[in-house]
Amino acid sequence: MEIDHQDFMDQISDLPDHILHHIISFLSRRCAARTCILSKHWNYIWNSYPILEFPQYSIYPWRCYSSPEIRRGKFRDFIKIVDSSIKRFTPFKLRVERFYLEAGLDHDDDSMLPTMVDRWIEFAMKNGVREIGLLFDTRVTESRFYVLPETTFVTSSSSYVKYCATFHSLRKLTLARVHMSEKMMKDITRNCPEIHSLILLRCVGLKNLEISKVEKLEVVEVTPSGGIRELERVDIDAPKLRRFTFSTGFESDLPCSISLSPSHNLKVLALSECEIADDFFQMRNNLITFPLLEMLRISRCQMLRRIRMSAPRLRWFSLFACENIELIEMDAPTLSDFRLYVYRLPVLLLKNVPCRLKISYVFHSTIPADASWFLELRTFVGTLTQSTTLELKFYEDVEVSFDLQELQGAAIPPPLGVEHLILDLGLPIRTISKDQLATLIDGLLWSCHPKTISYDSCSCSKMQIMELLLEKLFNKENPECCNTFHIKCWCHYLKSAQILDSGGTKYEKLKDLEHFLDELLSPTKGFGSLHEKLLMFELEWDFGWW
Amino acid sequence: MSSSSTTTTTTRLLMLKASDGVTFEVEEAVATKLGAINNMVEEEGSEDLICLPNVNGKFLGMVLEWCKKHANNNTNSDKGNDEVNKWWDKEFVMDLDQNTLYHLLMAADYLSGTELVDLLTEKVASMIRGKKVEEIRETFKIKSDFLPGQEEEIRKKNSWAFE
Repeated sequence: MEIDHQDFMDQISDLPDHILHHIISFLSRRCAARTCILSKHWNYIWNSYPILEFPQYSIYPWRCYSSPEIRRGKFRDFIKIVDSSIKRFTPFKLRVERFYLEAGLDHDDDSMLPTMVDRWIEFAMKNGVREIGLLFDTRVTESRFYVLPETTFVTSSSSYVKYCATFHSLRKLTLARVHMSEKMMKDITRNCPEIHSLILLRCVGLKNLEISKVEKLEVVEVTPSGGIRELERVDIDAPKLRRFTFSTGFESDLPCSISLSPSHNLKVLALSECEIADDFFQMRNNLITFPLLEMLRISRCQMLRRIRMSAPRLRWFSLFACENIELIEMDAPTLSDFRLYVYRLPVLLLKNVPCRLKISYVFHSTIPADASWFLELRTFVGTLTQSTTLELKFYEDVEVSFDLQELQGAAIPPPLGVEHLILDLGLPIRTISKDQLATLIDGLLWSCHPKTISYDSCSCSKMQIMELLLEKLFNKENPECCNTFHIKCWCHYLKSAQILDSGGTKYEKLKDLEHFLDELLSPTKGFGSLHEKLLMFELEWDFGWW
Repeated sequence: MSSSSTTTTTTRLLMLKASDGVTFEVEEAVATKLGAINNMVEEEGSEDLICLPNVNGKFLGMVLEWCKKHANNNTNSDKGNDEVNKWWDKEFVMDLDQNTLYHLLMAADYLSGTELVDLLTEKVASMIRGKKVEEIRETFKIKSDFLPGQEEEIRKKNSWAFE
């Protein structure tokens, strides 16, 4: 019965402090702050809350303040909020679980911010902070940074014991647009033995990023700075490394050289614009190179020629715009996503790859799509043992020709088909003539024999592709094209074709299509709906008499 | 023990004794979902009877029910487990009254059931979220004990949160 009485009492406020802190940690900062006026006890709970998070733009949403004057005022208010929160927290002498500051550098006209931040970090470090996040940004100039004090991670001899204990707590460090130094990185690796994750976004001051002998380090993420690109070398020796990403959002002339000591725990690896050599992905004496690797993303690494690897847990693989890639040899029995984006066709040796391959080929103006290129494509298709979606992208003006006579005497591989072919014409229609487009379609059908074809482009090229495909696939009369010599064109193997619209309706005969096409082409309904209407051609091939 | 067959694996049973003398017999794999019990079991020479003087039988029973569900779901085939657990967690906290919430939280915290503490604290947070100060006071029967003018002063100091 006693229990029933309590039902009408305030029991929640009697929970231990750490549980109440835990409760408000699920709320937004604003909502959590409001609990401070519930009662004296809740006021104490808010003031002693060890998660000190200050995201400027959610405290003062910028879009609400149009005039620069008000923004400047709000920026000063923001600094005051951070400072007074820290002052209120200080007397409790509690450990800071997290100090997180997100601030713009553009409205700091009185240059108040740096000295304040210096002070806040010192305070956080002294209070055994576990996580630090300092994320600055600027919309005005690329050259603004917050300069982290050189002594932040230095153990001073006078207070050695005290400091040593505080550095031992730091587990996660996230810095964005912060000026650092190589010495500071050494201090971190030497003095923060518990550090588990290190995230550096658009930071400057480092030519070489060297991280060695950090036993507990599991996560390293680096995004080099956009304006001043000075990072030349990343060297990481961390036996427990689980995730390493190096990403750039732009193209630069200065690729970064990466060296990773073997970590058998590596699960996620993403590299872009790095100088990595072939030995990075070599099978060594048939040893499994990456036993736990689950995700591998490589983009614009121009030194890379060969990938030869065995990855028994790999699930996601993508290779984007690595211009010199020649060979991909892979044993990956758990792969569920395989994407290639290439400018020339590499040799694929895939063993135990259970998923469909998605390969995008981007035409380059220097490589004409001529008969020998189509032969290369046909040979490539012949080596694919998996079902494949092949996407061909035209972003540049490419010379197209397809004359089978040129291939007289060449060894022609038997016709094999890809599952799905996508034609992506990113070009305005005037740069590719109707004849060229027709030639292109002939060449592609001859080399790929796709089970389905779809296309993606601006609406006028869409019309043209559609008309051409209709003409070619349905008005098929006895082909006279290749009676004169032994290489057969695609028409001989096409058994039937039908059209599937995005609504799921099938049209097997051209006659059935007429009404549909009338509607599509009518100026009132047509062009608008054509953007959404996706036509797919389903083809059936018979290679019986090859 | 010596010849455990391949079909049944022998599991150790533990006796947990609550403050009111009620005892529960649970499999080790279930009880060790609780950090505190896990630590006791890992200590060498631990006995099979564990006394928990700070937890009443009613709430210990509920905590163990939660552990059992999660231990079972985790041994089943891996896929979709998170979904099942989430769904079941939702059911578990749906109709808890505040008194039960309070005692369960105290029990889970004492027994270091981290995941259960997360679940219950999040439940309390959901009762605060989106409410006005008066509504929160009403929900939990919190009495404002500020002196006249004090509340207004604090509100002013934290004005950004009330804008």
